Amino acid sequence: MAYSKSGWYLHTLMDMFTNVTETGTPTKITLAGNSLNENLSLVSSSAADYAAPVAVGNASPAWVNTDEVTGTGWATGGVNLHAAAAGGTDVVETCASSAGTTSAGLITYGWTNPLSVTGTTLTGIYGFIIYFVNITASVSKPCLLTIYVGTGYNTVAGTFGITPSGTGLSQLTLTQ
Amino acid sequence: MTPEERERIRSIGHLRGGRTRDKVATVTRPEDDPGLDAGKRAKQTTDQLGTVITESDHRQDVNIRPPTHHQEIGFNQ
Repeated sequence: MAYSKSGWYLHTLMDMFTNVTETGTPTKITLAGNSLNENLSLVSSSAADYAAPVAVGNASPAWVNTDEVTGTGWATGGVNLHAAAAGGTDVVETCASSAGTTSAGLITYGWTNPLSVTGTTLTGIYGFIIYFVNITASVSKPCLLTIYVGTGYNTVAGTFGITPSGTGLSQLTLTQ
Repeated sequence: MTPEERERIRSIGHLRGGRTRDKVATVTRPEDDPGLDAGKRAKQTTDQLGTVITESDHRQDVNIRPPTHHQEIGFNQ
């Protein structure tokens, strides 16, 4: 099945919900505030839904460089979110809740500053993965979120950017 | 076929999932963008997903603006 879906990696969220102590940095999974230890890598059209590196339901969702897009100005492993905004600054992750309705609440994940990396030549960008680059166990480099963007975007000696919408990169809806 | 029609066809890329990549083209003069070389022009296009692609002679920038992804977690009581 071709890569076409965005999603949170369930095992990584479960580590957060159940307060698992990780080996490495950070010691606790959070949705925001750990950008220094989070990278964003790019995914090609060769990826397939539910298979690594976008196996969102995998019990061990380790980041791997399979189906990765790399190029000039963008090495394997991707860029560190703490230095990925304009001028090498932090994107500043945000995680906010909203009241929603009496039966559903929203958790919104996004960034204050757009990602903006200059001097890149990249071909065939279909999506990206945010993962914890400095955690070694219980899962090595556990993935947090993948966003499918489709199309196959290219840069040529130019700036690659990702600007979250006003309602964030992703919203988790909790229903009762 | 008019030049505008040819440009429109050239600009339509292939998207999986049945979506089209229908771009709206504008031309940016160098004085509007300090990053451009003097005397050069750039074409800025926005596709249906909101991604902005800026092309000049030797450079192409991409700014992806992904729509918010939604995922639901249900609790059975």
